[in-house]
Amino acid sequence: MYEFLSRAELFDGLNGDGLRQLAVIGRRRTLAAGEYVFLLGDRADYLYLVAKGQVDLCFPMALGGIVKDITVESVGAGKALGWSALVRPYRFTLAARATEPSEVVGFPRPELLQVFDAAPMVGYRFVIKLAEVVGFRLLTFQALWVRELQRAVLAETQHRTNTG
Amino acid sequence: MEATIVLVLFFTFLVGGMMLALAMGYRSIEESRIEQRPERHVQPAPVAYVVAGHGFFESAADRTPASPAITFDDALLAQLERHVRAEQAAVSQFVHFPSVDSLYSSSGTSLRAH
Repeated sequence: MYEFLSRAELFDGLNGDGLRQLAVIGRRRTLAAGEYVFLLGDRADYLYLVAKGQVDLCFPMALGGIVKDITVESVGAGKALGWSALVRPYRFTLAARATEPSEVVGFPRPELLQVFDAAPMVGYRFVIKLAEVVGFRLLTFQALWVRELQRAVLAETQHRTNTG
Repeated sequence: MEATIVLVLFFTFLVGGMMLALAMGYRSIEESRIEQRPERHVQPAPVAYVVAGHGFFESAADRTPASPAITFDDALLAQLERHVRAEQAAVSQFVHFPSVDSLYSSSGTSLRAH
């Protein structure tokens, strides 16, 4: 567990003591291919790291009364899943599904916060890395949204030009 | 003394009776207004689907479709996923090096089939 955590992006820069404390509270969970780690709207009580395999982050697409999930991002070993566990209202905003036999390590929020209370420098470094992950996601979706808006404006402009 | 008490009681009953009459009159007016008001029927919102399972794919068969005329086109879904992945790749350049050019760099895909 210690070796794995030392290579995880979210714990980059943490020293030995910090990693050992986090290793104590981490809980391994094995997943079959197709198994969900969590669904959109579930209570986000655990922050996850992918230890082995691959997990897809998906959003639900509803059509004709049926909902199917569309993959927006694939997350491999060492990457974080479910930062909603540390941000109110503590609900997952995407679904996470293993695409192959995988293993994740879950960190329960109360115990994670206890570690940060006891070792503020660990919490500080962790939050800096978490802000990077959240910021990356925010920028990505912001850019995707702007690009779709630009396409909509372009299509409308062409339509108005063609119809006189 | 006794005359004063009788007078106080008389006025108390008089004022109380007037208040009661006013309240009853107000109530009857409100009831008549309600009776005269036209009925308004509210259409319940259509239920999109009933979730019965846990996962999206597994539970799809357990959901009651509200509009059977519209169905998923798996080819379209595959195209959507390819589009999202290509867009993600294009956008990752913007995230690392934000600029107008990187924001609108072409991903070479489109959701529009026609």
